[in-house]
Amino acid sequence: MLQATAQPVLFLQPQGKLLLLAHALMAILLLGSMTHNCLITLRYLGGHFAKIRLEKLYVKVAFVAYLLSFGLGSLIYPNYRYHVRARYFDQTMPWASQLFDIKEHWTGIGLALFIVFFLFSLILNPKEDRTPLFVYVFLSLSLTLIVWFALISGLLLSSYRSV
Amino acid sequence: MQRENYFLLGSLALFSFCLSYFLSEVFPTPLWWYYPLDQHWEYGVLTTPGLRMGWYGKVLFSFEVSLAISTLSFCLVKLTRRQTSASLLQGLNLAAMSITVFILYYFARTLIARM
Repeated sequence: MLQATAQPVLFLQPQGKLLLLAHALMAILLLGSMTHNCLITLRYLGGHFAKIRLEKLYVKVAFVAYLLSFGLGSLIYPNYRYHVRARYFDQTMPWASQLFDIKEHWTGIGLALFIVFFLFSLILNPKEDRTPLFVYVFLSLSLTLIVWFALISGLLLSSYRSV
Repeated sequence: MQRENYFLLGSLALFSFCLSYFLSEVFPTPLWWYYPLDQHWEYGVLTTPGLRMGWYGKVLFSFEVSLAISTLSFCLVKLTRRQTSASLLQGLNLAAMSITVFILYYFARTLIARM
């Protein structure tokens, strides 16, 4: 007679699918707003300052989306760590575990980048502040790269196994 | 406080966050570890063996270091009331951008090598 093995119930495991869906939706909002922001900030380097207000609006939207996406991802993480990574990826697809680790570190670093980027956007005048403008554009470009990488790798990994 | 000083503090915060994140990866650093199966936390370098997660602790540690350095620098700037030189701001901006690129590259390269 088969005996059922006791499965541990992890933090927020029953809400895992719902949280993952909300995490993905926030990531899509983040990707759109950050990409638009990046396209505008790159034009600052060429001396085009026609869309400063719109660019700063994108920063606000993206910052809220990043915080929500990051927070939701952090809540799902324990569930992923055991049910997806330890029980599946580490056993059969170690490359997927490493890919997730890159995403994890990049988004952790991205949080610090985003806080600085958001604070800079509140005080920066792109027409006058030429020295910090280069860092501002750098942050926008780096964050856009991180967000694109995180979304693509997250979708790829979820297509194999999710919480 | 002048706006240049805020930019200086921002770059310093970014630099110190990236540096502490990197150092906590390559050197044994006491962190908060989460044990998802037992749903409890432990603090230290060598903690109980088992399935554990150090990422929360690493991000928290780097934020603490960054916040401490930024707060100290803020107080220093307030007390001395010195004007930020353009070369200092440029140098710190360059350092912050360089370490950001380095740390992103470091994690990508290290983890791709393990694939």
